[in-house]
Amino acid sequence: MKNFNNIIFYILIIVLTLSLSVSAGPKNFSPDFFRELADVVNEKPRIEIPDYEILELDNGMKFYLARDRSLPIFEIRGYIDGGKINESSNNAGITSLMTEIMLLATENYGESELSVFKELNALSLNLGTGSDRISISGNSLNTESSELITLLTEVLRRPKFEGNHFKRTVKEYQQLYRQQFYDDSALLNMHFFKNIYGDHPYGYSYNYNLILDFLNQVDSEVVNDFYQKVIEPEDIVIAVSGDFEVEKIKEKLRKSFSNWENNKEELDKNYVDVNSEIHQKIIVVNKADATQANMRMGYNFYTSKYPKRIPFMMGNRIFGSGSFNSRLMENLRSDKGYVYGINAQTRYNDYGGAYFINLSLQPEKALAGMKAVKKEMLKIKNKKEPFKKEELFENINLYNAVFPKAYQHQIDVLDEIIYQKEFYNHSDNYLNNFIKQYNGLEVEEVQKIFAEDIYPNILFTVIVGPKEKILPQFEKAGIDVEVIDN
Amino acid sequence: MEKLRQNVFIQKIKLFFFFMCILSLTLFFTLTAAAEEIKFEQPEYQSFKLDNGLQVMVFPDHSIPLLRYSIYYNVGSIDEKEDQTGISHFLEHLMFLGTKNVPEGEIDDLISSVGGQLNAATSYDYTYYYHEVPSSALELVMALESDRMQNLRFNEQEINREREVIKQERRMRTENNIFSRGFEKIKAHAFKDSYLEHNVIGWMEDLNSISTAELKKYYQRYYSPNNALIVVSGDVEAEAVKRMAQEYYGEYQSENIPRKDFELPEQNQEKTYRVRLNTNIPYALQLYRIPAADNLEIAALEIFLDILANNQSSRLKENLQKEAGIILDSGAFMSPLRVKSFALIYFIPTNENLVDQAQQAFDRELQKIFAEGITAQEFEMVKKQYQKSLIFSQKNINSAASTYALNELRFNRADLIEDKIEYINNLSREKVVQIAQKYFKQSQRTRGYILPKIKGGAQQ
Repeated sequence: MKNFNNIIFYILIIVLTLSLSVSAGPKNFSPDFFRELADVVNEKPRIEIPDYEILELDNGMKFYLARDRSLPIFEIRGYIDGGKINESSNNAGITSLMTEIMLLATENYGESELSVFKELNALSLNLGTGSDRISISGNSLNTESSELITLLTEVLRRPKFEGNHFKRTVKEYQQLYRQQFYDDSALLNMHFFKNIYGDHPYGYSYNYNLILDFLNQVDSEVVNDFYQKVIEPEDIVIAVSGDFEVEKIKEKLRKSFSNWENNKEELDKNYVDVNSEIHQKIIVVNKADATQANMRMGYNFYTSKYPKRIPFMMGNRIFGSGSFNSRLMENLRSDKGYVYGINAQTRYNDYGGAYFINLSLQPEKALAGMKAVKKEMLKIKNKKEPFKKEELFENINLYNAVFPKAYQHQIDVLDEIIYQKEFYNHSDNYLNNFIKQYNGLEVEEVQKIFAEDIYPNILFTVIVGPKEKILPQFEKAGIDVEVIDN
Repeated sequence: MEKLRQNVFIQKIKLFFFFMCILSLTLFFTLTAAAEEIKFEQPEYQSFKLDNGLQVMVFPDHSIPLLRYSIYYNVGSIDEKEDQTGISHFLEHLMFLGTKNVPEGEIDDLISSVGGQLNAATSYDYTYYYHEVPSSALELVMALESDRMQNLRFNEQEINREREVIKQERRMRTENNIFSRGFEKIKAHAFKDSYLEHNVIGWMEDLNSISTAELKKYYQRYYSPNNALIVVSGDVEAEAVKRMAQEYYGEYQSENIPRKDFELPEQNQEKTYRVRLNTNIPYALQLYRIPAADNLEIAALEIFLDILANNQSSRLKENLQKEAGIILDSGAFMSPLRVKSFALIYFIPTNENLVDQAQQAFDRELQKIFAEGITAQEFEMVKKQYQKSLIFSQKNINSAASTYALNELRFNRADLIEDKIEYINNLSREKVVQIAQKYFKQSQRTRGYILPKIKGGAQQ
């Protein structure tokens, strides 16, 4: 009997052990087990600076060239200093129109010929319009490097603004800008940035009414004049990376661009005037068919030269990076289930930046969402819930992990070098200095700087959504809002 | 620093889109006169299978000390029942809420603490989860995913809160985007009563009604080792992955996974559907049926669509946009799956009054290309671009890994891409058109239009 009892006992033990292992998994999974595995500290990365050559032409146009034979490809990245910052209220949107036309046709290649040239040679070339600069990016296989430079030369030096392609593009732009009034994100951009930037070129590219006014009267001569003023060789810097013979490419670049002359005209650039009248203001843009409230809350912020940019960046990552464990996501998504995503962004421009928080949620919860955001900001501002050491560590650890990926390819490093050196007088070692600086941050410093430079009490808010569902909550709370019927 | 930010804030995004037009001849013929064979360098990888059916693929690349750990489950929206649309994606959200062994929020915290990132995506025919972490965190992600495969926690309160998040995702991505909203309705009409009727996000009424019990059942049915594929790419050794896979997944039991019938209802007559939305610009959509992704004819259809609608020099951009000015843009894409799926060709008429004219012009272009074929130049352009994209894809081991993974997951044919390249190298222009004619038949088409609510288009 004793033996029998023993057998029963051992069987029970075995059954219990088996059932435990079924629910627990092949290992004894537990929070501690996982935390032990997560004890990983990433090394401070070091970005290798490519061995580049600079070719500076007499007209001031600059090329940074570095070979990379890892793949048979050829890549270029670059910048033209100017663009949207040079626009006026009379030619709002002209930079985007100009760059679009530049890529369509040139003096030597009609629209059709240029398309065929690009596609037969598998060339890619794009111009992007930023607030202060126009970016250039292009690539090809190394066997077509010469053709890519030919294309670049045509596009930059010999764009053709006159012709059917111009008229057609203007008409297309008119339709596309009219469509912006039907898109809640575009409406949000317009009403937020035109208020933040006021009567400054940064705001014009979001003011679709101004742009449509311009498109209604533009002709090719106006765009050509703007091109002549803004696109100058001395304002252009280009990085070249890939599998190529340096001397051959230098020769080709010289032949292509040496005899291009500058026009010597200096263009005015002004700082953004901050309009304090928008502080605390709430605008509801009525979009009756919307099923959500698309919102942005923010204010004017520092320029690109903001000296505390790195500690502020780390603080903002803790607050609103958009990752699941950022403060805003934890509160508004994980705790409250209000949003799918929420993030806080800095936009640094040379003549005035902006800081803002983006979220979208059920229209009836707009006010609750606003309050929750402000509360999270105040918790940091008032040191009720200051940043924790672990939060900063996580973000530094993340940057140390992903930095090598972001700069894995030589063209990315070279791109950053030309940008920082040519426009902000930083050294070749900018990236490694950046790494050093964020690695040297202490949580107290990040907390102090972030708390000093966030301003929850002046938030300007734009909400795009159905007013009949949005307004009652504000009326009930006695909060004034301005309503714009779209 | 913008690039870094973009890398840091990786979000699941589904997309497609645009290019431009036309051709002339002569000038540059020398460059492509000799049509070269497309060459492809296969990435180095190892694959193996555990006794319980779990597939594992490893793509080593030691250039940076990071790895990407992905786990694919062979289940997506096509597997869902009629009144449970969106359940695959719903379950994907729950996978981040915690397990019996990891409290809510802890998965994110653990990955964040090592400097990693994680996310997931649900598709029509698969669901996948990925972690991008320092190579020293391999065991952590292996263990976390092993835990999530068997021990997911189903807490009613948390599920209801997450339901609200998903509903907001639907509002954001589908309901408040004109194209997505219209496309959802048109596709539902085109593929009514089939597995393609609903989108991955699901219908709102189903999101409201899916129960905890249904979610749990779905999880138990599909999240088993024999329905999964692990792909590890980056700074990793195959031996280490093999050892850990055995250690963390080897004891799990395989499950019997019944699949439903995936036949599309027969269509012998063209269908038309119009949606009126608050838009200024109209959209015209042409939906067709295509074979499963392992049918090599898909490659011919890709070539055809580039020549018809996607390339800068495509027929639609050249003749309808630049020449006639009756459309603003055109494009096409396919969603090849493990079963029959759909191709979409779209064009954007310049205004509502030109919709019929643009449709007629589109039909004429299609008939013309069927009757007269594609030119040698058009064919060469597409092949050249494809060769270039293959070479550029070598910049990132993760992109090659995902191509191989999907072919393995869907068809147990990881190297399907090699067959595809051989097929393209042997393909003739005539064959491309023949295959296009076979699939892009008028009788099997659904024409859908997203039109302005106010006739003629509202002007601001």
